[in-house]
Amino acid sequence: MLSTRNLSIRYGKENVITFPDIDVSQKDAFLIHGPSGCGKTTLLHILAGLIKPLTGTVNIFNQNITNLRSSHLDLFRGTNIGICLQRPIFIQSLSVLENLILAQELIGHKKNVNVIYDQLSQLQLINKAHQKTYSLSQGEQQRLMFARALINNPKLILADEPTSALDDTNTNIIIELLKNQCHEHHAALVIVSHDERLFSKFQNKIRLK
Amino acid sequence: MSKWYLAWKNLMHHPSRFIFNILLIGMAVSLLVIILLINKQMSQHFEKNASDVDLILCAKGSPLQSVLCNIMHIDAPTGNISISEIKPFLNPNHPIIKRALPIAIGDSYQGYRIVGVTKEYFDWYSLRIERGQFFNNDFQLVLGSEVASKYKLNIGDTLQSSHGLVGIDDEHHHDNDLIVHGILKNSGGIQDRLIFISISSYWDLHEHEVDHEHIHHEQNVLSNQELVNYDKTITSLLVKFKGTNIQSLNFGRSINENTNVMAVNPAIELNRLYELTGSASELLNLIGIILSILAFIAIFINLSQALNERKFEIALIRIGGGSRTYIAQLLIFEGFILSFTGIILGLILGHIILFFSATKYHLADQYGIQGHYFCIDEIYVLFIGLVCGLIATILPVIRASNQNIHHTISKI
Repeated sequence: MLSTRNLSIRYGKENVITFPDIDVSQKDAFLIHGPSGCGKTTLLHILAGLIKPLTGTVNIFNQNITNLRSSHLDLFRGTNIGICLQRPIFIQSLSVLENLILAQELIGHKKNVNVIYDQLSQLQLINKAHQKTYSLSQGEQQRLMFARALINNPKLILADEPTSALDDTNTNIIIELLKNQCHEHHAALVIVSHDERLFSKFQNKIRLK
Repeated sequence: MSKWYLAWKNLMHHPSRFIFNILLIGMAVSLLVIILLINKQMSQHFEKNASDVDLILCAKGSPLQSVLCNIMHIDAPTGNISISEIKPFLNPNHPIIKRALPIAIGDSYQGYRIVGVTKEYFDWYSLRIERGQFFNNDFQLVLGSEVASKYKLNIGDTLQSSHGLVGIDDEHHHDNDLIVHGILKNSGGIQDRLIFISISSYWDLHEHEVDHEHIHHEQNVLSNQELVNYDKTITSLLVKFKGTNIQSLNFGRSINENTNVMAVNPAIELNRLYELTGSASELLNLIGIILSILAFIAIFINLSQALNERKFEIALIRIGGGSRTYIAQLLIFEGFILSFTGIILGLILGHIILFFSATKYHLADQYGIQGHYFCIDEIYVLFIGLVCGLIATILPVIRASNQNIHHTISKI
């Protein structure tokens, strides 16, 4: 469902980074591993359609997103791709519940509070629904970020360094949580990370240099 | 969740910043509104009251003072004129004078002027009686509606007049009791703040002071024609011409050149007054406009700063499927709410400030300025303000909607 071909991007004035081709099928969990500065995050942004590559194509469900125009791309991304950023970011002025309602409505869906409560209880956030996001603990904020990425049942979840700030126990918990949630939502999961601990936990993976 | 709701939430996330901004806009707008309302009401007040009078005949002195005294009832009289000097103008068959109104000024009650008039005065200004009757005897008073309501005066009440106009001459009470005989309907004009008495009563009051001997006249309330038979003085004669023609234009000049009486054209004098006060109000206006520009620059800086703080949130909305248009609309709505509340606050503030200062400085009495007066120009202030607010948001909006999301979230 996700496949890239011949991706490359200009870096600085002269340097061009080329990326190996990636193929991820539905319900797969895929790890893009590499040291800091190798272009992992850039690759993730190309997959998310946040930047256009110099060459190559990104196909998600047979849609080449490198050809989409800005507003279509925004909508396609919102509908089909859930993104977990390196650090949790929310709309500060809104509550936990309102942040998720906004996520539903941004792609033109009607708000569905039942779906949200369902998701919040799966991630043990149900009693935080009416709090402001900045009052949540680090772990709660990270889980809320997953909740937001999953709320619209996207086909693909992209996660950027989800474990960089976690100890071994929590790393295991978070990776299992991500895998399980994606499985339940029938979504493919792509993680980029420099975290060596993750390497053994994924069967499908590439290593960038 | 509408964009309006999100915009409102975002503004309310920093309540102190929001309040500071709307106060800034509010102050600037209230200054503009106050200047606007004062100018508007003052010129309306003057023009309304001067429009009925083509010429004032009075003792020689300052022409502007004469207008302020005899029409606006603000300043002191220029002096007295004797009836013999103006006798021909009281003739109802005068070729160019349609109407003439003799007026006597000089006494007051609690700061409200007592004006000696003939019954023609009430006709001229279309004044109607609310309670009681017009005077038909000496020492009977007809009160303007505001005087009656302020001192809770009723028909049959008595009061004593003071010689002089408060703040102009020393107060000195006349002995005679004056009886309230009628109370006028509210006319919205200066007359609401005046007390009327017959001219013969005026003479009686004053001649008592001189020789304590009542001087009898055959009839108690004199008409214009009857006045002619007395060799006494009045303050002025207000004149309305039959029409505007060469004769009426030359009429004033020939009086000024050939007699001891001064003829004043109120329209000309008011224009002179506007020229005197015009530059001052233009300066105030300029200050108001500069303040407003500062206020909107502050909005601009504030929005720009807020955008820097919120660039991750903006990236987040884009990642979640919101388009550039969504971001632009959201920020424009925020700017709109800010300008709109600020301007409305300014309008309300302007009226409140004017309301209290009108009461405190007697602006209503003298210039017809009131806080609860609204004019169409305030709508223009609102619209122009909103346009300025929109202009102040344009640059931040363009910057935000063109923000490079990849660069922004790479820096998380």
